[in-house]
Amino acid sequence: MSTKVTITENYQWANEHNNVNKQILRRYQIYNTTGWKDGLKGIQEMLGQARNKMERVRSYGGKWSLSDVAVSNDNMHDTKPLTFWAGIGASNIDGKNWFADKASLDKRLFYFQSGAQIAQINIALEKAGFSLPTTGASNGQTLAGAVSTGTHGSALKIGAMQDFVRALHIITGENEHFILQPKTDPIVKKGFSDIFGAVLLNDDELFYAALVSFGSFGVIHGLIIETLPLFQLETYCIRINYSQAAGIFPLLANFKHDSSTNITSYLNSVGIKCTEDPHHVDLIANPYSTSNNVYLRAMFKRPYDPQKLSPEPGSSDTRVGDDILSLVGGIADSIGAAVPVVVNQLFKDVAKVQSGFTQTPRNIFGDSTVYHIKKGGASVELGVPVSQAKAAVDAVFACVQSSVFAGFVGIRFVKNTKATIGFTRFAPLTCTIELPAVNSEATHNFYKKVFAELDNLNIPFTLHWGQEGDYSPQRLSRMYGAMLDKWIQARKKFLPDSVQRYMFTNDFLKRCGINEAAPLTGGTII
Amino acid sequence: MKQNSFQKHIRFFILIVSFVSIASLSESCSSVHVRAKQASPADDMHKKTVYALWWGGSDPIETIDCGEGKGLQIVSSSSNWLYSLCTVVTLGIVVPMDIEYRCTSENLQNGGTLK
Repeated sequence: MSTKVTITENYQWANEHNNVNKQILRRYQIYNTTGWKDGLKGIQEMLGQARNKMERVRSYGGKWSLSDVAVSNDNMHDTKPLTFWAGIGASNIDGKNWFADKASLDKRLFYFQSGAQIAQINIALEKAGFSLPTTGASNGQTLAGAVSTGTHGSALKIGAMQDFVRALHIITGENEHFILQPKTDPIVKKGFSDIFGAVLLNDDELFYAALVSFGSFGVIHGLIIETLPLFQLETYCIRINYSQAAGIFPLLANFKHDSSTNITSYLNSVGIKCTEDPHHVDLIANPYSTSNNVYLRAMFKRPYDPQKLSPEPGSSDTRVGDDILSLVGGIADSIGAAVPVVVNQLFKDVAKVQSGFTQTPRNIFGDSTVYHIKKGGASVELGVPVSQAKAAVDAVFACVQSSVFAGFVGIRFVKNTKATIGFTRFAPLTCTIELPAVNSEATHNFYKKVFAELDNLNIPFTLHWGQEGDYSPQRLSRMYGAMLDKWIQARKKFLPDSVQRYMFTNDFLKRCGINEAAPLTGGTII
Repeated sequence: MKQNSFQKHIRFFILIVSFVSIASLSESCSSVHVRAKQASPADDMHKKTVYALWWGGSDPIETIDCGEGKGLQIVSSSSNWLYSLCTVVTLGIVVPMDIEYRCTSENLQNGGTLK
């Protein structure tokens, strides 16, 4: 290779949560020297070599997924060394705002190479006077990894992370790469793709299919994202009974993207004094108790004002934005009958968060502590229509009573996505129900029980691609229906060569039954 | 009678060996983590066992090269039952511990504006 590349043969790959381990043929780490050119060239050369050897390739970032969605048996590409970022010149912009804001669009669009991590992006954007419109609760993912698996927060009017991506820069072979954007709402002109020597492709079906495609459309080299002027979040957290908290479900069932969320009076009634809609609202529930068993968290978006910021939190402080997978780390070694006691005890600690705490997103959704989980973490996240959220949460609680589930229940609300197989697909809001716990057989039996119970109740649900669950062809067909075939056809159109489709296939896709790749000479190779 | 006593000793020996084996193979039972705030990790976690000797007279000093402009994202120190036993048996002369560390990732490269 002519660029700076480190290749580690027979690499033992493990995800950050330590529940996916695999020996792979080789790991590539490709570095920029100055600018982006060497990174791009290095990826192209890697793909050329893989094609010559008829091997598969998968890029990965923060290793944040709990499933093997980002794992290949052959070559894996660590994107983290690729950290170039830049603004987009006004002369290359051809689009309109997705997020209502007066600030000029040419100041708010950025190109990030795939390895930029959320923590780094938060810091860089804050210095530049901007914020990511939404993130997950933690900052360990890379931008490309988070987007490709449909990572989300609970920002009611924004959506998941893929919903602020305006274009994708995807490399599909040694000599092929594309700037892919929606035809109905393009963002850049041909002049932009010419900078990279890429082909500009305006296509709605391809763009929305590729947005959440977990590396199966090729190697994402970079993304163009629309940011927002720097804001701060004023956060509140109260502890209430589930019966009170459940009052939010019917209100959000009538949610409208372009008007009031109708929950201001509800929040006032439960003790969060406010006069305007929250930017973010979520619940953390303890399934082993019936009183004071829910933390209701609400965050209000404010223009950046350094005079009104709370002191920055210490690295060991509990924050309102903490992700609950970190919080369950303390349960990791508890077993059997001790589970309710430990969960109840740990749940009290979440109450240390301060209401009124105001900080920028990087200090609200900060560092995670998943490495504390010695036996590996496990998590499933369901997406259900908000109109059926209460029935779904009730079903989860009922399953807990007859199972062992060493964890909490995280409930968030996300605007429906345009991504073809984004798991936050239910309009107007998808209620996500996260079930993080200890990685054990009992936990996995519990998950199966939940799926069966939701089926019994005829509650439609999807599963977060970056977490665990039932990814059988039957389940996928039930979750996405015709959209799944639309996605498969889009992939086939984007990667017309069956060898290319094979290269970007992995065991996860095969298990899902969406690995469409024609048999090569000599029979089926997958 | 002698046979019974011999068998008891064998059983006791097997029990001790099994216990020590399980303890030494088991994961560390206590650990401490020091993490840099909002630091993005590189890919590999490095792990090694170090020994503090002679009651602090010869403490290990590890030099880690993360590359220019980069630092440590996390350092963890852990011990286990066997290490504790070693410390007690040697009256503190040998104190083993496992350390794990990970460097920070490449810094973001600001490319200005793409025109």
